[in-house]
Amino acid sequence: MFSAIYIEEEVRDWHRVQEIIQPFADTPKIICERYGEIFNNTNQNFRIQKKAPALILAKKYGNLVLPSPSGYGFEGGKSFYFSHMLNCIYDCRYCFLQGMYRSANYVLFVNYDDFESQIIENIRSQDGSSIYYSGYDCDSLALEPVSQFCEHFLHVFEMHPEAILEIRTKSTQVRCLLDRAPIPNCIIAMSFSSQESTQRFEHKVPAIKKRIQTLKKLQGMGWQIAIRFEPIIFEERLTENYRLLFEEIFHSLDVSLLHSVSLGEFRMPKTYYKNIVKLYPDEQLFGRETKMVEGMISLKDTNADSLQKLEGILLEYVSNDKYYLCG
Amino acid sequence: MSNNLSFNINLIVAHKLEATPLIRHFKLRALTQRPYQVFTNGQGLRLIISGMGVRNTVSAVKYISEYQSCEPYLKEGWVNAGIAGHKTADLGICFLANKILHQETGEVYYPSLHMGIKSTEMLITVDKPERSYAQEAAYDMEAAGFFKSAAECSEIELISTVKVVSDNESNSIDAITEGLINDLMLETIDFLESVIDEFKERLNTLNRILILEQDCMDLTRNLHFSVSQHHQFRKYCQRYHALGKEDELDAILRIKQNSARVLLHKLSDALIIQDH
Repeated sequence: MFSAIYIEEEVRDWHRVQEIIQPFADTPKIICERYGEIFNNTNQNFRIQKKAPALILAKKYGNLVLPSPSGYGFEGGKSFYFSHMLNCIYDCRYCFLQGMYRSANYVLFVNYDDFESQIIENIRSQDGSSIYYSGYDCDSLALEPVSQFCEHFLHVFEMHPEAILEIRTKSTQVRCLLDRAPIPNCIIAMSFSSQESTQRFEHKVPAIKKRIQTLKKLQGMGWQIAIRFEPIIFEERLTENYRLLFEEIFHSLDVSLLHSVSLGEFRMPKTYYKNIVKLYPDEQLFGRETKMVEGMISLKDTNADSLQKLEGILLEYVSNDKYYLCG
Repeated sequence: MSNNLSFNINLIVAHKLEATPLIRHFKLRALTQRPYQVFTNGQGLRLIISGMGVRNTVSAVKYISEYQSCEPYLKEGWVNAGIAGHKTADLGICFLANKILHQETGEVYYPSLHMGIKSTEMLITVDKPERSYAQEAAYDMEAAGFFKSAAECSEIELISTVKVVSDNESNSIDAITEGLINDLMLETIDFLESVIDEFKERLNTLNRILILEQDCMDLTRNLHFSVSQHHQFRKYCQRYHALGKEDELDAILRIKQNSARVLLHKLSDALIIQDH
């Protein structure tokens, strides 16, 4: 699974670290001083590393809970995000992580207790409810069998019903959720793209059908679920493709119980986009015409109003109060 | 587009005794004698005998990186192969270095590892043959110098160190014979072949992109580009390739243009987004 496991000296004897590495007896283990020695090296190639990433176990310092970017997420209070992990086990060609990080190795910050303390401190300091997003720098659930992220953090939010946790994922690794009672302030937000985009740009990601089945199980157990149609990549049969996707999803789930549904077009900071094009100049996606607004690159919509059309179709399935446009 | 897919992979070996079995196995023939003995198979695999020690290794890497590179913009692979001492490991154990510590400077390097090879060790580069094996690690005299200088030429994913244990606490360094070195280096062959195969794949991926770019520039050698025009031209070439419109790009580039500005206009006008 991992080409190697790097472990910061400071955490090498931690119980959590020993638990994590125990199933990987044959994987080379290398002790380092700080994860940045490996992760921040300027002389590495993301594309090559992505074929055989390593796992880096580290301790995160500083501000572990950060305000979320403006325009991100749903309304319901001040919003924040926390990143217990950097990089994603999936390999989606449209993903901004490819341009944000020099390394494709996974960094797992094992000082969950510090994250927990800061989250609780943050919750208590808010006037009213607050929202916490997980899954900004990684897929929150994809590495759950290794990280046991849910097992730890769900309990934190169970004890603080005034705060909302959104777990953003494309994963079907939900055993930790199915094996326990749902908590009402936790939302599992599953990302989807059209079948065409999925086939073209998503690698190692569970099939759309599997993700829908997973959501159905979760919803059946009482978990709050949300749907994130991101990123929207303009394609020739965009509206037809998304109508098919909407049909498949909304006829499988109880729409009235959905927390929220969002649309978000493909977009990322210009510097990230440039980095990704250097890595994958042969990728058809990066041959398309782009536009730049306030430092953010997005695809030019040759039809001029594709997003509005999609919104219109989406609102045939969900009510306006559940919908928001991301970004 | 160039069809040359034999990219350079450079084997840096300290001593002739370590090099001889590799030269034989990979069927390398002599290329130069001075200042370094360099051997090649004529298809990109090159071996240079550097001499022992960090300084010699650094010089050898620099030398071979500049040697007769007909395509100097292409990336190359780098492998340091040789014998090493180890505190406890048995003689003949082969490994990739997973961490290299230069004892003299304290500098540490983390080479990229390969999924297929699980045998890895920390390697400490010392300036004299190691006899006390203070740490549970391997010891050599070249790897730190090799890695540092190779990293100035290539990404770490194109640099590897393959060593075989030649001495330990129970088997003195003084007992190493020519015959033993020969037998030990033969043990490294499987590792080396695995690393070389993986490097070929990685080089193919990385260099294909560079070749496309260079081919485009070659076709426009008669034009003068400003910095921003050059940048724009590269972007157009990349987009044409990404959209599968190489033939159209080729056709435009083969027509003599009066200026870079005219060429860029033609490229822009002809770039029609199909299938979004």
